[in-house]
Amino acid sequence: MDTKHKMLRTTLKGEDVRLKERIDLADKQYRETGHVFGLKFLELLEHDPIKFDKFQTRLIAAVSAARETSKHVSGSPAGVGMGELLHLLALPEGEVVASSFGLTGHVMSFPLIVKHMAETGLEENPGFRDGDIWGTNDPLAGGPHQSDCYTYVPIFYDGELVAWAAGINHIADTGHSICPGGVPAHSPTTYCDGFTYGPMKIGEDLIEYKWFERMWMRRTRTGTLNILDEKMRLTGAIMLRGRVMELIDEFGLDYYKQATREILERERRAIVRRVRTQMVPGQFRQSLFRPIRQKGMMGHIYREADKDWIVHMNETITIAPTSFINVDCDGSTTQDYFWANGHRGGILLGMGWHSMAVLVQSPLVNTSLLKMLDVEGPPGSIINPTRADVSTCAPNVVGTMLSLLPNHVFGWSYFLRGFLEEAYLCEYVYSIIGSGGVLKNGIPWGMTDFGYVGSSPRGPSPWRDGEACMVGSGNPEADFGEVEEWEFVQPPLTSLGRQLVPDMCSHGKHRGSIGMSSAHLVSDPGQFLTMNTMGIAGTDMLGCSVGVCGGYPMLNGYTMYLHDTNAFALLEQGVSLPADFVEAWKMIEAGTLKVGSMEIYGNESPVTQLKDGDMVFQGLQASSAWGEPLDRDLDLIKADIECGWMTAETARKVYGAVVKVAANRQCQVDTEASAKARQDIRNLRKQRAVPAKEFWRKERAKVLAKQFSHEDVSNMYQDTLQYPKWHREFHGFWQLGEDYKI
Amino acid sequence: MSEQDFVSKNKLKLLVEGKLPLDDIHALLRMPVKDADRFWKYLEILQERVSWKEKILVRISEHLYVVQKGDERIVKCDCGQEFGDYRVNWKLSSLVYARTTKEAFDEIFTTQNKPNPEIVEIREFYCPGCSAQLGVESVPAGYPFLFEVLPDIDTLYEWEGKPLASANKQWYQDLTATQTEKWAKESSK
Repeated sequence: MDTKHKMLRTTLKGEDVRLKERIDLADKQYRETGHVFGLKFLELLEHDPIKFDKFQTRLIAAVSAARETSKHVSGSPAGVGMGELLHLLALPEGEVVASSFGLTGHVMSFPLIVKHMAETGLEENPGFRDGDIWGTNDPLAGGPHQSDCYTYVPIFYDGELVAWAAGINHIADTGHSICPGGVPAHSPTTYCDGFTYGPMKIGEDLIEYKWFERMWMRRTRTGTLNILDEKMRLTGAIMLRGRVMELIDEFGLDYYKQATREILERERRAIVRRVRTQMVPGQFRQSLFRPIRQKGMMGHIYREADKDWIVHMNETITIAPTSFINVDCDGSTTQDYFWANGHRGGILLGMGWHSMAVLVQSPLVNTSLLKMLDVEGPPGSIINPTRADVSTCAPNVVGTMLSLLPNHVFGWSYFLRGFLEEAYLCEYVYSIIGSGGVLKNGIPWGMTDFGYVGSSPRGPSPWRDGEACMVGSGNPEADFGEVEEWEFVQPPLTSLGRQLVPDMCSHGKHRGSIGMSSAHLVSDPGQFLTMNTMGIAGTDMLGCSVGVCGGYPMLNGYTMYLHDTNAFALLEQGVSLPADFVEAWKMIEAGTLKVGSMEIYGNESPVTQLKDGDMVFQGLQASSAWGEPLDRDLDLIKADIECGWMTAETARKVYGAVVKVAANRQCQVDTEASAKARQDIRNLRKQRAVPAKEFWRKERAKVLAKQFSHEDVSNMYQDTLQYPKWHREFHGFWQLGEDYKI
Repeated sequence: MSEQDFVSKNKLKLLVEGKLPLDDIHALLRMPVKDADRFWKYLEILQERVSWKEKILVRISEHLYVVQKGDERIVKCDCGQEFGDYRVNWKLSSLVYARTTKEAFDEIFTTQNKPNPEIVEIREFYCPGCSAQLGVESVPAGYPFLFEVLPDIDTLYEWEGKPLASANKQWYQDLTATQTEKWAKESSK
């Protein structure tokens, strides 16, 4: 072994063992014993728990201080305003032992990056040295998507690699070739994915290489912001490196190495205990669908991508007797020339940051969850892509959508066991605007406005309605960011408002959160301006396939582009412009707001050209509901109407609530009339519904005749039925012969 | 005060009924260790809320329970309607209404954003006894009913330290296809 490798001395006992061997050993120890690093006993914890907790708290303080200080280096509203930044401390094997507030899901992805480095020989060439700076944003190497950039430094102590200190944030623009910003609605091939790098050494002696700055300037639309973000990530990583070395000085190297491992095992046991004592084991079935439309857009350039799809994400979630949680995605759509390829870093990121909120529920964020939860999908499916040429621009979105369903299950499972206080639907419902163009002075720009990523609704509980803009389950420090800051970095987009939209919710005994809307006016776009939107809420289909206990599933989003409007003339007349799409529709129908043409999408929109005076409206964030709508307390309905969140008409139609509304919006519920209205709805149900057997018989005939409602539906079945478990379920349910093929 | 005493049956009953004050719920959320007898108190409360006598083994929904009926474990609605063996998706014993048109969607989605009926239908599953809406699916036509939950009851009772005398691996399997197989045979006659 040469001198370079001797320097690493990377095992707990200080022997010369390479990183790959260390990772393999840790995997083996866990596989064989069921304990992280094979730790059956937590000696340090048991010997002196106060010292142990003090040590762990100091690690958390170190990562938090790194983040809180370094975020002010950034120029992006996401970094400074929303805190879209995470600093973490990982063991040499990649296991994250402490994490700051911020995008906590990254603790699930970082171990993959370290593993990738070990497996691809980077330890030998160029090697890991003290003072090195490393970076990556490549989903094929474990990153979630190109927008999420990792900057990390190895921490050596007395010549031995003892940790990694990393900073991660979501940048403004990745240089995607079709969609400005970083979360594209269209990406026919990975060669459109934008600037993709690493894992690679991007500096030494704690100074970044000059050429790396040039790469940001050359390959992205927002080079300056991205360089500042790079410096932000590095600043925190260097701070953390220094703090960890001080802690080792104080506690001793042996204590540090043993305690960091015991932390992971202790947290793993906490998850096991939570599952075993508060959840109901069993098998849960959920799914969701997402249309992606590229037909007619790609034909001349990317003929292979000129298709439409209904993407199927199929999940069987099992809570096993061991408390292990498995998410089996057999039956999900096959990888293809679209954005919905879920490479593993993105899948685990999505699963991690939301499940963390439901299963871990503690500031002690680390990778212990990875030991208790896994996601699997057949090779070649969107959950396990195998081709090198398909896009890697949004595995994080796939992972986040996928995570909705286990999180439904977890909340529901608490309810079934009697822990109602813990039960809620953790749904991360956001939408992102990607925009960009060239300003009057010839300066190109691009931006991902992901304000809504930072502040999601909280789904309902069995005792409470969903609430808008309450949490960022991916970011415990929920914040939209200042609208003025977003305007500053999107010069042609003037914000007209962010507000809740009356009636925009999924209905149930406990309704989902009231939906949120954004409105923008295009003002002085320069040489050109384009925009696309995408997000987690459903597009033209509800956001997931089942609501809970009779409530309706998550309402899909909405994007409306109004072209050639009279907005500027209205402003000159002193007329207020609409602040959400419902208000816009009222003004259009009243003839006040004049529109040359409009484009409407059930959430995700293609790249759209916008001109001066055009308007853009989005609606989103209406989470799923819990329980039968007719069980809803009439007083809650009254309160919704008085708050302006629901109209009396909807209350009557959906909930059978008869409510008189006075001019001052004070309401009076007619209890007797409501009881009758609810009975009428029940009667109508009986009148319209058929026994399941009859429904099955008629639908089966259509399935046998291959009569589906739409070509995209038929194509979805044709593709996904190649996967064995889903094939068995589909054939078993409809009782189809083995020769049945679509 | 022990965790068991802190979460009295009465407090839990108020939580189940949606009447527990928010401060008390927050106190429950802050408990470092939960009350170990929660499940048993919960079952007692649920049992007291229904008029029928079969023993509730586990709740599976707001209105539905798996109960022990003789040697069988069946799904039962709080109204008394029975849905058969819990290993067969209860939806096969329900009433189904599928919304497939814009007009039908307009009844429940009252803002402009709503799903497209060409590619998705909204299935509502009602109890044949009380007409309660027990489940909602949003799926393309031709999609099998989703078997939302098959609880592993024997493991649950093991976790609770009181294994069921009737415990058997046969209780934890999906038998939905056995029902549809019978229907298919009837159709072919």
